[in-house]
Amino acid sequence: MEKLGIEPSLLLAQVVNFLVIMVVLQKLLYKPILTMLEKRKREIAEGLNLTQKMREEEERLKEKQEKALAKAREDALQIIEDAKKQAKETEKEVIADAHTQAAAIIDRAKTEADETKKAATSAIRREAVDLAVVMAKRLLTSVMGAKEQHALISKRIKDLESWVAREEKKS
Amino acid sequence: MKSVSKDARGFVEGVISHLKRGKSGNVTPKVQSLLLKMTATAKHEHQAKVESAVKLTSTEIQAIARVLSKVAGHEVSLTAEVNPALIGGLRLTMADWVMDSSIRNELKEMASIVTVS
Repeated sequence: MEKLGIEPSLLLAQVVNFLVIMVVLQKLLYKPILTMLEKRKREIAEGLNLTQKMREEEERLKEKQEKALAKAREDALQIIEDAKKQAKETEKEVIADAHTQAAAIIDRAKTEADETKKAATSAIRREAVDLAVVMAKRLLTSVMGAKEQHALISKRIKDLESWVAREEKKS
Repeated sequence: MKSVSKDARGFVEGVISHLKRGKSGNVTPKVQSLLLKMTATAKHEHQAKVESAVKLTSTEIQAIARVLSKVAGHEVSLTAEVNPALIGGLRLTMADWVMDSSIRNELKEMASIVTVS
């Protein structure tokens, strides 16, 4: 060892120094660094994991949103379809109601017109007959002379006498 | 309007043909009906009135009084009156009973029938 220029005590001291340095470094430098690296690695892993989870959550939310949108679109279409159907039914009902009302109005108008016509015809007929009666009275007054008057009176008296005679025969 | 003027024309023509048939139609059923309707009050009445468009002869008055006496079952005193508004025929009144067989009444009845139909 001495031939090689190595001092054993020095070597030992250096080995001890080295070991001390090793222990010191191990305690003061490597361990915190390793701990820090481990922590950093864990944080990165957690970050990645979180990112993945967020991505998945985002995907899930996106999917959910799309589903909700599709559902909303479907619902909206259904509502529009229902509204159209309802509008058509209402339209039909309104038209039917209008037809019924129109028919009733026409019927009422016809009835009123008929009644008015009947009343007018009746009034005209009454007036015509009254006029005819006046004419007949004038005509008869001029036609009926004393001879015709007495002939008619005789006829009436004969009617009375023949009825009385029949009644007497019956009893 | 056509039917109305037809009614009026028919009415006048009917009256004229009615007269042409002998100044009177078959009035017996009508007279019969009116006589049958003579009320109890009228049958107890002793006074009667006869109206005509012209003055009645005494023979006519007697004949009418005779008929009424037979119907009432007792003597009836008859008063005759001239009423030109009757146009023709007779109108007898006894208490509340009236037998109107005048032309005026016939016209009124005919007018009523035409108006109703």
